[in-house]
Formats: sequence, C-alpha cells, structure tokens
Amino acid sequence: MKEIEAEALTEITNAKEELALEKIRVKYLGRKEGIVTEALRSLKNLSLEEKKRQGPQINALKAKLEKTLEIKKRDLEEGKNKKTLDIDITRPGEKIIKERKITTGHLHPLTVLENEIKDVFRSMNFSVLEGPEIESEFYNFDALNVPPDHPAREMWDTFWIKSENAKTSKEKLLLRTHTSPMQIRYMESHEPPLQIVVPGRVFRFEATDQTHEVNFYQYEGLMVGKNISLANFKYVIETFLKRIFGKDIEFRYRPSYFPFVEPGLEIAIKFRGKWLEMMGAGMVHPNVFKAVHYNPRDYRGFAFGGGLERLAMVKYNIPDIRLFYSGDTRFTNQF
Amino acid sequence: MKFSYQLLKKITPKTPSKKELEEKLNTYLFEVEEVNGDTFDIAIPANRYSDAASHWGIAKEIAAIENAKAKDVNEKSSTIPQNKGKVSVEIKDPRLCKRMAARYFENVKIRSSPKWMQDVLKSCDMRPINNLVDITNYVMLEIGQPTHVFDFDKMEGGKLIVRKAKKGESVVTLDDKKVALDINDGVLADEKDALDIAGIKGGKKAEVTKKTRNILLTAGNFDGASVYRTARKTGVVTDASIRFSHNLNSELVGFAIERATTLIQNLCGAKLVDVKDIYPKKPTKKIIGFNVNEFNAFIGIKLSLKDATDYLKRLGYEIKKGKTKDDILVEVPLLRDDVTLFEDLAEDIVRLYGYNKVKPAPPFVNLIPAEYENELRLHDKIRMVLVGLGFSEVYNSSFTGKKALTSLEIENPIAEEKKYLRTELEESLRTNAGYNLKFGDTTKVFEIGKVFFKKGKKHEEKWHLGIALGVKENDPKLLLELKGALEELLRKIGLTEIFMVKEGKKVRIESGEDNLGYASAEPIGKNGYATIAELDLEKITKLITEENEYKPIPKYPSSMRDISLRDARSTQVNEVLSVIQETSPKYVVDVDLIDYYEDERQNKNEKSLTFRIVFRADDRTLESKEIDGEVEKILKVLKGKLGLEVR
Repeated sequence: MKEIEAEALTEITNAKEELALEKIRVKYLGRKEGIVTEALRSLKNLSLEEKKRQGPQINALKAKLEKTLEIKKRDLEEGKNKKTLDIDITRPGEKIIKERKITTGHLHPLTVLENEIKDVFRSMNFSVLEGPEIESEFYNFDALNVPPDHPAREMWDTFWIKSENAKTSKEKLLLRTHTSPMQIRYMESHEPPLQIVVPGRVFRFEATDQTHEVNFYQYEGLMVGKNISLANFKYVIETFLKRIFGKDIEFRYRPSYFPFVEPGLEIAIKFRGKWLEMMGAGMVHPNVFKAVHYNPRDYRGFAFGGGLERLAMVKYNIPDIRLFYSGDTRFTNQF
Repeated sequence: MKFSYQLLKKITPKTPSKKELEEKLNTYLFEVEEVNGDTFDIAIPANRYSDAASHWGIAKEIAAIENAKAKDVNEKSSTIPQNKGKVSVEIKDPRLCKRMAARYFENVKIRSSPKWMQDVLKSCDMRPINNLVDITNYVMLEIGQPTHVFDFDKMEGGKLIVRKAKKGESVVTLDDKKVALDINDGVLADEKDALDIAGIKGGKKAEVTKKTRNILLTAGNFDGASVYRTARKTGVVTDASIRFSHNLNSELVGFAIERATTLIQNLCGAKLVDVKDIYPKKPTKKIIGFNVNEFNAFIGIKLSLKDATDYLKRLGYEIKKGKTKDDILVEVPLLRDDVTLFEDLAEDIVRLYGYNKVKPAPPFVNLIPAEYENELRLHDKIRMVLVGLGFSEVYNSSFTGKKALTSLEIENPIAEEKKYLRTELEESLRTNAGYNLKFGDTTKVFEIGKVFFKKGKKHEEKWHLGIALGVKENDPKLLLELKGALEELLRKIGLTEIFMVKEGKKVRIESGEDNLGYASAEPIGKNGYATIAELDLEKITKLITEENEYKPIPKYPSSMRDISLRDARSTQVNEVLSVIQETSPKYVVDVDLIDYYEDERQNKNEKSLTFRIVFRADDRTLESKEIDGEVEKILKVLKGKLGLEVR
C-alpha cells in the first residue's frame, strides 16, 4: 500500500496538465479498474481481522489521493492563470488576432433607441444631458410638487439609501424614481428659454416580471419659454413619435395626474393596429417654477417622460423587459 | 376604485351606456381600468379624493361631460334636535381633526340591509353585514366620507374625545388585532379608553353587535399626513385610511352624516335624539381670476369666453364678472380641493373641450444653440470604437449582493442579492462572459455604466467603462489582446499612450500620471477565462481636453532596420524601447516589437525579441552608413545597460 501511495503522489506532482491529472485519477480511483478501488473491492474476500486492519488504511489512502488531486488541479488552474498575468505586459497590445474571426460588435438596443431619440430632439434644437442616479428626496419629490406624507408618492415605489445623519430632505438619499429631478437641476442653473431632453437610468421598488425591472430607462423632455403652449407640446411630441414609429401612427390624449404638471395628460399611439400608452406629460406646474425661483407668471413650459424599454419593446417587438439586462449577446447582436 | 354603474345612473340619469361611458371617462376624466358587469374600476388621481372618490362625485363629472344634471344626494333629515345634553364631543388636538360630528340614536333595529344597498356594496367588492354597517359603507361609497358607529351603551362617560394616543396605549381592532400606538397617533376615545384608531379602524370595546340598541354615529375630518403615517407604521391600511390619507374636505362630514342619518332612520327604525358638530373653522371660498386670452395662449386654441364659461359652469363653478370683457371671476365648487390656480381652471376647461381637439402648432422661440455635452459624446464615441473592434454592448443591474468597503447600502432592498449598489462593472461582466461562452468560443462585451461609492459622509457616483474578453481555452496572450483593444480605443478618443503596471493580482492601467483603472485575468468557473479591464471614464474625459494639432508630413524618406536580440534576464519590452529612443533621439522616429519568442524547453526564460526601428531626419535623406552607425550605437548601449546580445 505504501508503494502505491508513493508512486501515485509522485505521478500527481509531476503532472503538467489537467488531462494527465485526470488519467492519474482514473488509474488509481477509477470506478471500474482503479488500483485503490480494486483494493477496496477485494476487502470482502479477506478475513474479518484483515478487513479491520486493511480497510481503514485503504480508505485513508483513497481520501488522501482525492485531496491531493484536488489541490493539484487547483494549482494547475492557477498556474495557467498566473502565466497570463506573468506575461510581459509592457509588450505592445496584440493588434492582429490570428485565429479569431473578425466581426464588428453590436450596440445594446436601448443605446440604439436612445441615439435615435437624441438625434430627433437635437434636430429640434434640444440639448441632451444626463443627471445623477442617486438623488435627494428634495429633487426627486419635494421640488416636483409631490408633498411628503402623501399617498401621491406611492406612484413611485422608492429605493432608499442607508445614511445615518440625513435630517433634511436634501440630505435624505434615494435612487431616482424618474428622470424628472433633472428638470429642477437644470432650471436651477439656467434661465429660459430652454429645451432639454434627459435620458437615463431610473429605479423602482417593484417585483421583476415581463414588464417590470428594478432598474430601467426613461427619457425626459422639458421646454420652457415665454409663450409655450399645449399645442406646441403636441407638435413636438407628435414629431418625435412619428420619427420613431413612422408617419402613419395615430395619437390619443387623455387627462392624467402628475403633481409636477397642470394640466396633465397621457399619450397613446396606434401602431400596427393597437393602441399603446407611450408617456405622461403636461404643462409645467407653477409650483415647480417657484421651486427653481422662476416667476410662474413669466414662463410657460411643457414636460414629458416615457419609458425607453417600453418604446423598444413596442418598436422591436421584444416580449420581456428582462432580456435587456440578460447580458446575452445573442439578444444584443440582433441590433 | 370600484363603482356601481347602476348607482351612477341613479344619480345622473343621463349616464350613457356602459361602453360609451367607459370611453368618455377615459377621454374626459380618469382612466377606466376595467369594466366587469355592474362594476367600473376607475383610477382616482391622488388630488381628487375630496370631490371625486365617490359615486356622487363621478356622477357629477358624468353630468358635466354629458351637459346634464346630477341629482342632489344631500337631502336634509327632517327634524334635527340640538344639544339635548346626551352626547358631548371634544377635539383635544385641532391639528389632528378639523371637524368632528356625532349623532346619538336610540332603539336601532339590527337586521339585514335592503337589496338595492347590498347590490351596490357587492359591485364595489364589499360584503353586506347588517343594516348599520352597510349604511356606513354605502355612505362612504356614495359621498366619499367614511363614518363610524359606536355602541353608545359601551362607551364610558358618554363623551367622544379626539386626541393623540397615550404612551403605551393600544386598540384591539374589530378583527381582534391588538394595535400598539404611540403619542403621534390619533384616536377616538371615551373618557377612559381609546375606542378607535382615528380615520383608520374601529375597535372592539364599543363594537356594534346584534344586541346593540343605542348608537353614536360619527364622522370626522382627520389630518391626511397623520393618518398616512399611522396606517403605514401600524400596517393597518383600510378604505377609510386610504381616503383620509389624501386629505379630505371637511365639508364632506356634513353631507355624510346627514345622508347616514336619513338611512338609519329609514332602515333601522331608530330615533335621532341628539347631535353635536364641532367645526371650528370652515374652509374659505376660493375665487380665481380667469382671462380667456391667457387661457388661449396657454393651451394654443381659440375659445370664446362664453364657451370657456360654459365648461366651467357644467362643472359647478360659479361665474362673476371680471375687470374686462375678457376676464371673469370664478368661484370654485366647495369640494374641489385640487383647484387653486388659473392652470387648474385651464385643465378643467381643456379636458372637457377635449385634448384630442387641440391642434399641434410648432413653437416660436429664439434660436439658442443646443448645448454640447462632452461626456455624452465621448461615451457615444467609445461605444462606436468598441463595436468596431468587435465588442458588443451589455447593460447590467446596478444592484449587487456583494459588499465592498465603500458600498452604499439600500435601506429597503428587494432581495439579498440586490442589497448594495455596484462599485464595479467587473463582477457582472465576468458573469456575462461566462454566460456567453456557453454559446461560442470567444465573447467580447463591454458596458458603460454608473458605479457608486460611499465617500466619507457623502457619496459619489461615477461613469465606468468595463471591457471583457472571454475565451474557452486560456491563452497567455489574452491580456495583450485586451491591451491591443484598449490602445486602439484610447488612441481613437485622443489618448496616445497607456501603460500597464502589475499591482498584486491585477494590472494597473495608466496614462501619464493618471491611474485610469485595472485589468485582471482570471478563470470564470469551468467555462473558460476572461480578462476584464475597468476604466474610470471621468478621468479619461478630463484627460481628453487637449486639442489635436497638425504635424507636418515628413519631406524625406525613412529607413527601417530590424534587430533581433537574445534576452536571458527577462528584460521588459518597455526598457528596450526607452533605451533605443534615448540612444538615438534625433533620428529614431518609431520602434515596434515585431517578433517575440519564448522557449521554455531550452533555457529557462530565454526570450528572443525582434524590433523594427524607423529612422528619419527632418532635413535630408539619411544615408545607409549613418543609419548603420546609429544601429551600432544602439546595440552597444543595449548590451551595456541591459545585457542583450544580438542573435
């Protein structure tokens, strides 16, 4: 038994690759003809006394070999890895990859669509900007005329961020539930006339399913000036939606309620024969202007916001929102 | 919120057919979520609970849409006894309760309610119980104001008190749950105990049973924020608490208690003995100025003042003359708490007029150039370059279960594995690489996304770029391949030089003085290997502010020489490159490593390196001899400094 052990351990130590290691394992521990396996099997032919003497020895050897093989296997894996890192990384990067097929990659469908949106709005002289994903309660709610301790807040299920010393709503942090806080941030530092569109990631405390994700994308639009009207809003938004979905779509507007607009409405389009809710919108509420220290009598404006995934799902016929976050290139590479 | 079509039609007889009603409500009022039999499920906006969260309110809106009349459900009970001394009511905390009304009845007969009432309750998903309970529920549905009935004989002291709960006080609710309260919660109490969580749920102590004979009917107006906080804190959320949370109008109390009185007298055969109504401050009338030209400019239509006035009148607004022929003064209906501004009037007019009828019109504005967002454009550029290099874009979750030293934690995580905000893109990209290797031998993915950190007492969020290259079979050159892609990318966006420096298990990526990020090379499960680079995009944005400047195209030709060196000392390539450049600074314009060979079997660590050196002078064509001289010089220094021999 000692000889077998010594021999096996030497072989394991000398093994250079995983394949060799596997051969050693079969030789000693293989279920059919492994040397150690055979020895265990032949125990049953021995006397009770011999069984008691040899049994534990063979079992111990089996355990030892298993463990050594395991460690060696890990070493080999790490060795390979080490070799990768041991390379002289000051060598120039490889520019020609011989054996790999040369193909171009693909943009994520949400990027593709966001680019289209940005293009349409830039063509109408809108500035494109982004904002922080971590927001304060103040920017996400208070400044947007959503009162504290009011059920209106339940329209946005919120992820709050742990912070010990947050006392005021400017200190209390959350993951923005919409891109609308950028209305406030932008108006605080700019004077009208202004035209912006803000795409970005937002978050909602909602169970994930076919149409809901805890993080998703919105695009927000805001136009403020001296004489901006609801009819102007309809012009801008219809131009936008026609560019995205084609000239033949129809529009339907209905009253809706969002605390930061008055009047507030929702827009649906008829696309491929079906009516689909597209976004919420309205004329900027005077309280929002007050929050950014504009005189509400001086300016009028409209704001709108829609879901990017929703747009993509309709346009590309994608059945499940979770596909966007699957990291599966078989999905991305279709775009 | 559920509504009974039959009851709506009873209040406004001109209510159209169900199908038409659904469409009209959608177009002119609120979204109808579902119609099922007699039941209309209508989404009530958070600002319309005072006037429209009731059959009466919706019926009035239907009447406005149809230009018809709604019946008045507010019938006064015939004779009202006052201050007989049977009941007293006290509001101890006026911030909690703006109005509290109570009515004492004797000899109620508890039996089942009539079918018409039960039908309405059933349409609204409520279970008929007995005439008294059903009346309170029915009144809530019809008027929009919750009421509550106490068994008067079980109340101690005959006095109803509205106060904050005492420390350690609790109420056992009608469904036998003991709810612990604190000093911020409101209760209705007798002189001894809390009987009811104000605006939320009744308690066991003065519960109405089959044996009840004398009752106290109550209706109060409770502070929305207070009810909202208590309901959320205790988890006791009821139809009443939802309504009160939205801040109801205190006038509703009067309508509801009158309506309930009539029903109790008629259906329970009870006698009204005494009434109390503590109502210190009635809401004031709201009058808003309205100018039709301002309205037309705001909406972008041309409505006459008469038409605008008609729409307002249909909704119950009272109209008075204004300063000019284009102005009016508008008195807001009592229950319309949502209307305080000109814009609110504009909304009511334009929604009845119809949003669909407003004609789109291009805005007239001064042309101010759109702003140019450097960061955004850079991200777009990076995406395009990486796609050109064969990488595909992925989007990963911002959440992770992995806690880092500087992780920000979610206060209310939706799952354990989504408890923290990501501090790196690497983790997800490794998962992506492993996943995609199931379907191919190579995977090349990238992500541009935000990562988040705690920074002292503050926080920080940053744009990162992550690039992953995964293969099934490990290849020592994998890291160099990634480096190649990075060099190409950074060159394209305007950073000429990057360096990689080993740091522990990772490789640091630098440009000049700046640390741009890290790269790693690790096995990913059993599927293969991945090298992943993660870069700080904010640093890169900052570095790319310099302008590109034209350099003259060389006038004289260049010449190349290849040198092959044997290296037994594991010299790093960058050392060789610098020696060559420094030895002949005037004429060497470029050096490239063109061959690299390492043979482990022969002598350990012996490498063979071939460099191609490009020589050129700015003012003449270099002669062959001169170049040979430069090469000699270089080889000498390489041998002296680095011990490299020519092969």
